[in-house]
Order: sequence, then structure tokens, then C-alpha cells
Amino acid sequence: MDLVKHTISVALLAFASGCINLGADAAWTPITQITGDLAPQTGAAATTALIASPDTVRIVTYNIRDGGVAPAEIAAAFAANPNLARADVVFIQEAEAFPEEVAPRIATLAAVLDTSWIYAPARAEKTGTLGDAILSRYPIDNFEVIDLPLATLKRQRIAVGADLHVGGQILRVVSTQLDTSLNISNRVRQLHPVVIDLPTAALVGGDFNTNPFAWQDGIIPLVGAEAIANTDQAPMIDNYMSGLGFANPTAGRGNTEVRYGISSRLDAVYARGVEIVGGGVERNVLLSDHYPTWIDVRLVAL
Amino acid sequence: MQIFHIDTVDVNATLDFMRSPSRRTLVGLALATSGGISVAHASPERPNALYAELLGKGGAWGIGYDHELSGRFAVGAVASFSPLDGQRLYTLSPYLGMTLVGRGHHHWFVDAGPQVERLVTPSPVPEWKGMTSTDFGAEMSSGYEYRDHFLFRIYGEAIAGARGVEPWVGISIGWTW
Repeated sequence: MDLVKHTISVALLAFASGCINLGADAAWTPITQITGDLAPQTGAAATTALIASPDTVRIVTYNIRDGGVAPAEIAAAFAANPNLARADVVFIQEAEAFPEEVAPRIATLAAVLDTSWIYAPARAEKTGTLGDAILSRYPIDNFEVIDLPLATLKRQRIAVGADLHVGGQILRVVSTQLDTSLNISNRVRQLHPVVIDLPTAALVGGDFNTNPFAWQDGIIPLVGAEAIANTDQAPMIDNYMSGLGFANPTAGRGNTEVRYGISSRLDAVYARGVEIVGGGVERNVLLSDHYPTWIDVRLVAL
Repeated sequence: MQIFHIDTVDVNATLDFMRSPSRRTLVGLALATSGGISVAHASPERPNALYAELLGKGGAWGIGYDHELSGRFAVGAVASFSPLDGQRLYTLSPYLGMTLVGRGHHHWFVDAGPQVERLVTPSPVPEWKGMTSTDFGAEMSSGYEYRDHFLFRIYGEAIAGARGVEPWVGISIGWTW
């Protein structure tokens, strides 16, 4: 019922205001400076998986949808899938945490996968919080969070970043989720502060919500126009990121999400300053409306 | 830093569409509906119509004009401009229309024609130059029309292009003379 009321109020206000505007850009903030209910939480793997000379690093991004199913079920799905079982780093979106539970659910998932982790809440949700996370078999530190520019009548989104230590090198990794029914100009504006000042060797992954439509006032998807005009936002974000030197190894691997019968390429891991080895989309993992999407990279001397 | 700028007329996609099953389906439907149905108003007294559309041929909205040629057939066009949070979508849809059946001021109509859409995406940030594309397709509409001094239409529509066929709807309100 709340969702219905929210949707109706958003629709009325957006029609009245005429367009979707974004708030000001924020800056990356060390998590030690974030306090209160939205303070990020971290944890270390039980066993330190220091791999001195890795051949490749596999990075998976997965929107688990509204907190996801039980962490043990997600871990079991990863273990049963050969491509996910050897994930080194996992970017999670729509993770949840609740004060009545002893730890964020990401901690439970990380314990099963034996990874270090950070969970960064984006906003209050239900009785707890909802946000993004990074799980890693490699040591991670230097955690930061950035608030994405807040869109009119939308909810707060964030990105969480960390330094990944691989064989003596450092790779900056970022997990994020952009807003849903934005047009491409606002989507680029929302992503811009996340990526513009990253070091050369960086991975930016998550749910970019790059749906195939142009939106009237953030409410009406111009479905008819989509048949003819090139409104698909996924190649546009690819184009924006490629201008910054980032490649998307799964751009040609098809959709990463199906909802209401509409297949969309919403998820990606963009890579810069590394050698790209491969990538894929695991459409046989059906625990969310999104599919886990992964890439393999090899670190190079910069 | 490498910066990309795309400004294309998607000729290949258009040619692909003209050879595609989508185009053949639309043409087939148009031909199938063109014969053997009685027509009510053979000599239009108010052949011109100017109207506004909600959704319909122009995306979110449009402005259209049509002219009845000889009672059964009409020609017209709808144009629109939609500002989309910095993006701009321009559409133009000329069409050939036909009254299928009706009596007095009430008719069932069908129309079809090509559609051109130009999508301009200026960059909101200095490190990107944005994108622009122009694409061609076709649309076919069919629905109810009330036509007197006042014009009202409500219809369903199929829009076909290089990216497939999509259903859509439209409402037109205007006046005639």
C-alpha cells in the first residue's frame, strides 16, 4: 500500500514539476567519517586468502533484489555454478541490514563464501537499511562511500569503494546502483562523480539501471519510440565509460535482467587499467530478477 | 583521454527494417483492411482536422493535421518534440488514413505510414560529447473516431523499427473545418 501511495504521489508531483532534476554532486567520504544508522560495517575473512601471483581475478556483480533470499541460498547458488564458484570479488546491490539481526546479512553471506566484506547503507528501508556491498577473497581497505546526486522524488543511492590488494598491486573497486527511471543525461550525471576521479586501475560494477527507454517525467516509458529511436541506455553508458577508458566486457553478452517480460542489460563491470580476459552472464541463477554478471581481469604493470 | 561522438543516420537499420517481417506485417495488415468494407461519409463536409495527441504517434504527445481526400481516404501527419531531462526527441509521422466502417459522426479508422525519430542527447558533463541518432520505422494505428466540429480519436498502435515492434496507444482531440 505504501508503494502504491508512493508511486501515485511521485507521479502527481513529477507531472506537476515537469522533469526530473538531480541534486548537487557529493565527494567520496572515508567510512570513518560516517556515523549513525547509515554507518558502513566491515568484516574480515576467517582465513586470509592472500594469493601472491594470481593469474586472473574474477569479479561478479549481482543485484540480489530487496535484500535477496537467505544468504545461505545465495552462497549455495554460487557454489553450484562453476563460473560463480571461483569468484574473487563480489559486488552486491540491494543488500539489507536490520537492527534486530546480529549482523548485516552480507556478513552471513561473506562467512559462507569466506570473504572480507563491507556493507554501506544507502538509506533507511523497512526497519533497517538497504545499500551496496563488496565481498572479497583478497584483502580490501581504504573504504569510502559517495552519495549519488539525488533525483527529484527518488530515493538516495550510493557507491562504495575499496582498495583491492592483489599480488602487491592495488586495484580500486566500486560497487554502485543508479536510479531506475532516469533519462540518459541524468544517468550520466549520477555516475559522473563516482568515476571521474578514480585511479587508472579501477573496476566499477553494479546495477546501472540502463533500461531501454526514454522516460517522460520519469514516469512514462516511451515504449513506442523505443522500437525506432535508439533509446537504449546501456550502449550510451558504455559510450560514456569508454570515453573515460573503461571497457565493458559483457556488453555483447545480452540482457542481465528480466522484469515484466522486458529483457534489459542493466548490470555491468567496467574495467580500466587492467587486461580483460573474459566475462559472462549467468542466466541459470534465478534468485533475483537480475542475473549475476562477471568478468575476468589480469593486473598489468602501470 | 578518448572521447567519442556519434552522429549517425542509421541507414543500415532502416534498410534492414524495410526488408523485415515487421514491415511486411504492417503492409499486409494495411492491404487486408483496404477492401470490401462499407464507408459512411463519401463526401466530407469538414475535410480538415487539427488535433493534439496524448501518446500516439509522437511519443508522449504530438500535434497533427489531416485532410480527407474523398470520404474514404485521408492524408495527414503528426509531429512532436519531447524534452526529456536534457535529451530531445523529435518525431514526424506522415500517414495515409482510411475509414473502415461507420455511420454519421462515428467511424472506425485505420492509418499507417513511416515514422522518423531523431534523438539528441547533449552531454551534461565535460568529459563526454553526447550522442545523436536518426532512425526510421513505420506505424499502423486503428481505433474509434468521432468527427463533427469536434474531433476525438482513441486508438491502438503498432510501431515497428529496427529494434522490433512495440504496442502503443493514443488519444487525439481537435477540431475540424
